[in-house]
Amino acid sequence: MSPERPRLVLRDVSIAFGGLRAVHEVGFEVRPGEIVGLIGPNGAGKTTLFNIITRIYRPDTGEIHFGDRDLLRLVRHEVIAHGIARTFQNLLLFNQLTALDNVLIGLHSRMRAGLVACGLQLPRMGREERAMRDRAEQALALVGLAGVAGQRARNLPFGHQRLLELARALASEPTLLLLDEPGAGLNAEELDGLTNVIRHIRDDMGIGIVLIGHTMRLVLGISDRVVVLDHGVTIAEGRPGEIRANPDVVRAYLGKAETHAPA
Amino acid sequence: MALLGQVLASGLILGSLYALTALGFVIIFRATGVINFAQGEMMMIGAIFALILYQDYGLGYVPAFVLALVGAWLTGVLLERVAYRPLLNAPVFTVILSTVAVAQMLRSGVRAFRGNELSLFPPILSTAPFTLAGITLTPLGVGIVAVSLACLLAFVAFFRFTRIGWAMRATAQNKEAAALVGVSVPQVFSVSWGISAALAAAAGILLAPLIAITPDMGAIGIKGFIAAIMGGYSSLFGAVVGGFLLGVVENLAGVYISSGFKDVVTFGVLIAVLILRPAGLFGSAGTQRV
Amino acid sequence: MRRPGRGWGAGIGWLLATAGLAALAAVLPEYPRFVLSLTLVNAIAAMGVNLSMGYAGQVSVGHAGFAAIGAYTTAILMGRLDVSFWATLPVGGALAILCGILIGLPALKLSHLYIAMVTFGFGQVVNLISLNWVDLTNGPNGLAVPPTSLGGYVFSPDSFYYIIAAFFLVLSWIAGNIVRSRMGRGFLAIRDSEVAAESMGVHLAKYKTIAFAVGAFYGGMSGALYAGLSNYVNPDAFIFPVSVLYLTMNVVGGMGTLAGPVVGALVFTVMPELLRGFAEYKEFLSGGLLLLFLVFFPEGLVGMLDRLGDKLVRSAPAGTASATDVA
Repeated sequence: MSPERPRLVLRDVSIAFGGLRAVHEVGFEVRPGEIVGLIGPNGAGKTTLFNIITRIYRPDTGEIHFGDRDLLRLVRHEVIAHGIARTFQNLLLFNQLTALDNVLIGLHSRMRAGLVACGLQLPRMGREERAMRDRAEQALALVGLAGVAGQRARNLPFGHQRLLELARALASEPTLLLLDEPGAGLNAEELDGLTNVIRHIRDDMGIGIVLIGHTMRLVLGISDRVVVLDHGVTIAEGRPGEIRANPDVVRAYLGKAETHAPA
Repeated sequence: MALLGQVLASGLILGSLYALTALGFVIIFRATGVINFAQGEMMMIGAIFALILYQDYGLGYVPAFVLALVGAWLTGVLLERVAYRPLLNAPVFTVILSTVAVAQMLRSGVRAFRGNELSLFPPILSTAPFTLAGITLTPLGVGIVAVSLACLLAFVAFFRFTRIGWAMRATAQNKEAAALVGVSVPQVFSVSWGISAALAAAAGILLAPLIAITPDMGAIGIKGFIAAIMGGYSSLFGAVVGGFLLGVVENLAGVYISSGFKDVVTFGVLIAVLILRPAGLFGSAGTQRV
Repeated sequence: MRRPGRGWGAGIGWLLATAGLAALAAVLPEYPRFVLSLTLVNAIAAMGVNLSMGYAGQVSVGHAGFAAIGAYTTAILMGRLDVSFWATLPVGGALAILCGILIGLPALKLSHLYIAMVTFGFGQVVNLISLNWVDLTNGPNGLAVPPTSLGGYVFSPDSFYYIIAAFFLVLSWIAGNIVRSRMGRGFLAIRDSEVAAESMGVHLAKYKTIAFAVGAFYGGMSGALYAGLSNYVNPDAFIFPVSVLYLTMNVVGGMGTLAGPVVGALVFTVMPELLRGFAEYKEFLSGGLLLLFLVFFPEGLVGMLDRLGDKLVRSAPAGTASATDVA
């Protein structure tokens, strides 16, 4: 493992679903410790891009490298072991599990206990479990959910569920975090709390973040750079200030009859 | 060669009944996405209704047949309300289990009322064999195939030329879109389960003269299920073809292997099809999440 | 935060369970003890279904097939080849696991519907083979199973209870360990969201196969123990309604909980005994209960108790904060 933290590099990534071009020749970079915002109207291909990076889809063309690793050679469940963790636009929590268990599953790739070790409760498994529990509790504390560790995910209020998904993704100590609309549905206060957590992740943990956002306040307010997609194509890339003023971007958003729900 | 022809002809008799049952399975699957494990019990219910009306109440065969179909239709609608509708949002296997539960209740319910007695349906048509082109047939056998085909054709006409048939087709393709254009999806569900039950009942009634009527005769419904899988679980046409095909294959296995292992062959085919070509002969590949 | 199921509380729990089962043996007369043995045997099979289905979400509608494999392996090896009961166990277990894996493999790519059909077909095939391969299984007449011995001691159905109880305790302990471990969490993750599970690193194919294999193993053990207990196996003991019964035990008891299958086994083994005079109604009743619970109480009895416990915990003042709660 090189001492230098890995960069995510996408080049010419394209995918079409039955004739519909979802993503076309998209390329950008994410350096360690920077937040890249990924914005664009609905259907622009942002989540599709995440799905490609995490190998849920296979792109028709293009390359994706993470450090010196060719991501396209990986299978879905291997992605997190290489340091890339994600959250989901519509929340994919393990609803019947407790918050702590949800985060523990985030640590799945960091654990080794197999069937025999688990079934017979071998001592090395016990040690591993204890260590991982501590890490899981820390992840929960980081997002401010330490008090609800024992509650089932489905019983948590929506804002806490969003934070829980974040904690789950953080638990494995990734080097790159893909956050898909983590702020959607949060009120102003919750959004501020989330913004602080994300900033802390970048500043103190040096984790690279790609942030898909609909709430301009969150994305433009916190990103170091922004990439704008429309109809699967990159239409702009630059610092938040530049993007805000970019006429193509404004047109792309206004051109669609789209309303943002009040944050 | 004559033997082969004979085997084919005999296979078509049971095959036509399998086709009716298989069609019923697939109708429900296409409309509601469920495997109805109670389909065989619908056959049994149909036969029981017909038996009671014909024997105990002395109705003519045709009125008994028709009324039994109506009774089965209503039972199917009831089943839909009780075992399916409340579980619309439940995981798939919960719904499957509920049909299993209903099947068990129907079986044991009938057993509780009538005991395990074997009833014999008096033969409607003669079983005196005659030969046609070197193949031995009976009027009963021919009658069964004829009536089955008539039922199948009636269904096809219904499906293609009536409003409800169109609604069923639309719902099978896309529930939301169908609802948007004014189709009453709950009504389509009810009708689907009703028709499916009626088809199974018809098969059961036609089958009745050939075997003994017991609470367990629904076990033969499994064959319809296998036929549906063979032909393609999402294809109506496939179900019918699968039914006839299964009847013939079974007969072939029975003649050339042994009657005991005939059933093993049948289930072996089921598992093989599921593993090698889950879509069956005519179905489209099972939808997988993306 | 201490892990549930570890520490002194759990240890005492197991001691109590062991003592309880031993005490029951001393107290119960012969026939009720037989019913209890049967309950434990059923509980083991139900636990298998629970692990495959309740935890990993892999539908299993033909579990009696695995029990049949275990039972017939024991019967055939003991009766025909004079193998000791104990030696038949690994063989039966291995065969069951093998079948579980074979069934599980196509299931990896298929939807729940198809898995249901495959497992159903499997159960039917095993039953048909046991009926028709008369040379091997003696067909519908079944096979007598010689009594089990250990050292010089020969077990009667009465004393076989202790063997069953011991296996029950060990297998429950293992199941509990699996469920509370990384593996169990992996299963539950798969059940709740396969996509999320994979992005968290859970190897779907491997875990689903393991779920099937472990479930099959428990089924096989249940069958072998049944053979040793009743000293007789025949195809009727493993027909489709038996698979349904295992499912019913889980649904009513509570799938995805540890105690669920045991509670369900208790209800559905003891109830038919209480309803001796009403044989026709007991199948109707169990079908009715299955339907009732599916529609109205899908989490089962133990699940309902869990929910109740949740509510009580939530209404209590926040006492679950850990020392590191800074936020």
